[in-house]
Amino acid sequence: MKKNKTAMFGLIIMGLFFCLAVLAPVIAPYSPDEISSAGANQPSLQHLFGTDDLGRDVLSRSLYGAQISLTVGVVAVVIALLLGTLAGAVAGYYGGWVDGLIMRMVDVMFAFPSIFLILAIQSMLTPNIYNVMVVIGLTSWMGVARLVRGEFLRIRQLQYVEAARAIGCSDLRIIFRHMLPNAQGPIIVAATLGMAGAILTESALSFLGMGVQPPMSSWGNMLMDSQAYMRDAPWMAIIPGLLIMSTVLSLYFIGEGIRETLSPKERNAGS
Amino acid sequence: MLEVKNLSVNYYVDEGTVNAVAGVSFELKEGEILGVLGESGSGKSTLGFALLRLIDQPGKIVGGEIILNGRDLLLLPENEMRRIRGAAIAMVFQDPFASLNPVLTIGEQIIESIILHQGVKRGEAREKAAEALRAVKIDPARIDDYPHQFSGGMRQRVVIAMALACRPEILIADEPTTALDVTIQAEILSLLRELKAQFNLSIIYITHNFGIIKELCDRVVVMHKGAIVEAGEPGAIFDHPRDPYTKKLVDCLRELR
Repeated sequence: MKKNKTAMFGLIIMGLFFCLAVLAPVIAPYSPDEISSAGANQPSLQHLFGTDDLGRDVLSRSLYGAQISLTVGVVAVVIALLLGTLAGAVAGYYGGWVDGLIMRMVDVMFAFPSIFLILAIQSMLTPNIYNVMVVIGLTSWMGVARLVRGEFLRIRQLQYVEAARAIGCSDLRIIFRHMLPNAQGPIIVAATLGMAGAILTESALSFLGMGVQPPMSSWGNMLMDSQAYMRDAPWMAIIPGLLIMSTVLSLYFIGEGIRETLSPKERNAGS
Repeated sequence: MLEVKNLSVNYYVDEGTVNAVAGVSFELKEGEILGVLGESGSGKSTLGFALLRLIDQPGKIVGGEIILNGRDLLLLPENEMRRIRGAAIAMVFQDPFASLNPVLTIGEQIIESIILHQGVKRGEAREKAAEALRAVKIDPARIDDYPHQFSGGMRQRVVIAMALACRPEILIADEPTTALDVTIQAEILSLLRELKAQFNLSIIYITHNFGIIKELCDRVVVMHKGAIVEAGEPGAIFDHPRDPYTKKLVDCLRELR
């Protein structure tokens, strides 16, 4: 991992973004909703990233937006991981009809164009960030489920699982204590990649007006706000666009880095 | 103490039904080492797993009785069977490199079995685990080490410690030395003999190696195609095999020498 420069780069960027998001109230030069100039102004010393059409400071909004976007990403991924891991573990461990049932559910969920599903659910509920997190989580667990199932099918064949059964461990104990820790590598990879996906989905939803609601800022709805002013105030689009892109890219770098570290080619040391 | 009557295990595969164990009956007496001899595919390992009711899909125990101290194990509900596994009957597997969980320390794996079966506190379980390690001649100071920090022979000792931690009456050893060097193999065999004397253990030793059977076992059953074809005292069978299949096995061994 340490030798992997792109992964380290991603890790540094993500670390920086998380710090900035947490420190937003301290370092943001303005309040995110404060109208600090008349209309959209170019980046200047007073407003490093310029101001938006309502005269709000883009830097401050980006910092607070980072809080929202990253929180949505993390929470959605945690929900997807919990669901996906549970479904995949049960399917892979028990096999047979249980496996068939769960994996067909996964197929059905996959077959659904999830963005439309999310839009439909969001239009029925009042769109707020909590719904966004839950809905993204509920529609993105299937990949994790498939992955964990595959790992469990493999690990299930190993003798130490048989040995655990032979000392009288219950199924739950075997699944959570003996098998899950051995599947953690691919799950961590899926988590980083899934977080990138969740942040993108959040941006897309907010862009369509179904996600984080104004005046709260997220990178997605900052992009939406910029649409009408693309020509006159391009910084309004470029800043949040760059932030989304660098976050997603960093997460992909980290995910790939971990995946490489875990690949058998580089894993012969130790076990 | 353990009596197996007419035990049958079938595997239902695409090509049809395979009688992996076909009506096997034998008896294991207290403090005895019983050898189960057979080539790969003779059903000897399946027999071992069946005794603990660890036969997975597509296999199934289709008939017979496994009577341990008067109770038929095949009639027990699964949760009671779990209490038998590891506590009354324990098992040691062929490959010591695969039968320990790489992410748990050896201590955690031994302690787990003790806590599961004896309901003691963690501290006490840890002491008992250290004691179990001492019994298999591994320095108890290494209780917090991970499996990959041990050699093959030592790992097999750890596996044996894990199996014996709850003082089972019966140990099923499924080719426990096949994956090891010959010198280490001899060490493990003498360790098993010692432990047997120390804990009044009965052992079912599954192997394809007549040499080990002759050296270790009080009695032997020879399995071929899922059935027992011959049973008796190893020396006698070695000198005068009656069954043609046993005769072939003995001839092979003679040729090697």
